[in-house]
Amino acid sequence: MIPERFKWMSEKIPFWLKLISPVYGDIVLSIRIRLARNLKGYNFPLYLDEGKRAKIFNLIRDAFYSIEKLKNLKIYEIDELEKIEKDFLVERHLISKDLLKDGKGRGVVMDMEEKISIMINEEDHLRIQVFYPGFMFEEAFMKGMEIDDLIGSTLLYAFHNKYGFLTTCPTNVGTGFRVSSLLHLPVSVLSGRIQEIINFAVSNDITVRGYYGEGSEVMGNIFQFSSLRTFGKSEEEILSNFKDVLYKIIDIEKEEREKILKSAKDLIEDKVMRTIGILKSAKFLNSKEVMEYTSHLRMAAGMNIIDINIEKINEIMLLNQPAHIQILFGKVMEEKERDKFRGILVRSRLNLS
Amino acid sequence: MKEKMEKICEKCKKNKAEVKLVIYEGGKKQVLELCKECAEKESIGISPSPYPVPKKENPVLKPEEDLACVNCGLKFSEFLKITKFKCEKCYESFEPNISKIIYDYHKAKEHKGKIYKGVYEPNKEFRLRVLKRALEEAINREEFERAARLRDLIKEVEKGNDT
Repeated sequence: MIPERFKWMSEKIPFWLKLISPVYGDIVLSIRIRLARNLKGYNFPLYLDEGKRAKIFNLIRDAFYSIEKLKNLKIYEIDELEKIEKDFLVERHLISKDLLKDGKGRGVVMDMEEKISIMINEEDHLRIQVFYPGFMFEEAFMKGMEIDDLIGSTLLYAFHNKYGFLTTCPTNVGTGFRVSSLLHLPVSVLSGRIQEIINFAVSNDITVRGYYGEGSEVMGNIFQFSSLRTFGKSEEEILSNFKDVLYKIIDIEKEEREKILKSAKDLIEDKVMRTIGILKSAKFLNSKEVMEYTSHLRMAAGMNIIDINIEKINEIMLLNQPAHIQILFGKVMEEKERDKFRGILVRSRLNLS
Repeated sequence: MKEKMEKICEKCKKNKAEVKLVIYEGGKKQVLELCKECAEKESIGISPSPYPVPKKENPVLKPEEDLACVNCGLKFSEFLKITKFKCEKCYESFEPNISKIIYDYHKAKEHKGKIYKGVYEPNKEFRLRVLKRALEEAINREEFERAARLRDLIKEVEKGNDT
């Protein structure tokens, strides 16, 4: 049996994948702001037994209910979720895998649009995350700061004059602030400039990872870039440095696109036409290849080679994932059956029958 | 034409090395020459290791050096094993080691940025500064849609509305 709780979510695209900012819609998929916070007077979550964790979880939950502007958020304790629902939220990028370890007294707070997701008792008592599409850094930043003020005026944070906001790991101390972005860089990968991009990012205190963050592989030419240092710089400086680096990376990708359009447009056309051929006729599609194919489509759409709505492509990228397919169709499926349904799904969403 | 020596993958020592992978560990750059398979396994996600204290080379502490946190009792040696604090008081209890560890990683001595006051008062000046700077950026890059959005946002903030 598949629980129905998140079916409504699987039927829509989250706000952060909408194409609000067409300038970069095919390159900057989304951005995220993260704030790590701990409550004063309690040990950090890593060292708490489940009873103590539950106590803090309840305390935080009650605080949310008491804040007028936040009381409509949905709050789930991880323990009350089925495995497939947990997987679904990870696939949705709303929570980390770390939150799932022993779910008693751990939880997530989120809004219907998926702009906000606050993890409770992950590595820190609170991990406030704000997700926005495209290049909407300022909007995300304002929202994150406001939520932080609201929670911090209701609960007492652990703060130190010299070290700032205190965190479980010294790598997050100070601002507790991290900004990250999912970038789609297919042509830089094709042309081999990706290594230059990665080196450039790393030399500017920005880490590069795969689609699901730490320890995950790169799929569909999507890279997660995130700011590294949290201490000794203000949030504004961290954000501004991050944007500067991102602009340069975007410019490299655009430059490579222009080059390839001049020198080998038919190569891109061939690639995308083959992809469409496969998507039209394949009986089984696995999630890894669909990730790759959506990348070809998004690239070609971004280069005006084909006319496909990028939001639709992004939607397929999400629905492509195992828990998503099962929740959407309301059916427990083994891998082979998922591969079959994936084919049906892609064809119907892209009108490729 | 002299034939070049074929490089062998540094990881599996079997296949031909075709990919150069740059890895940063503890801030040090390392270049690995790998075959495609191993490179994929390593993935191109490459991050400097965030831990200033190399796990294998933790110093052997004399008992008098192994401080315990005054609040939670965590030993400094236990902290070093996973570089995770147990409570807010660990920071001060383990001084002066902590300022050094934090400096090694962040290259900074003190917090700059948001100061926690524990009250809710959205800072209008701060918001306007961030937004106006972004507006300038958007105009310079001819991102007119973004500029228009930021203008609307600035108007809202000036009126004192939440964003």
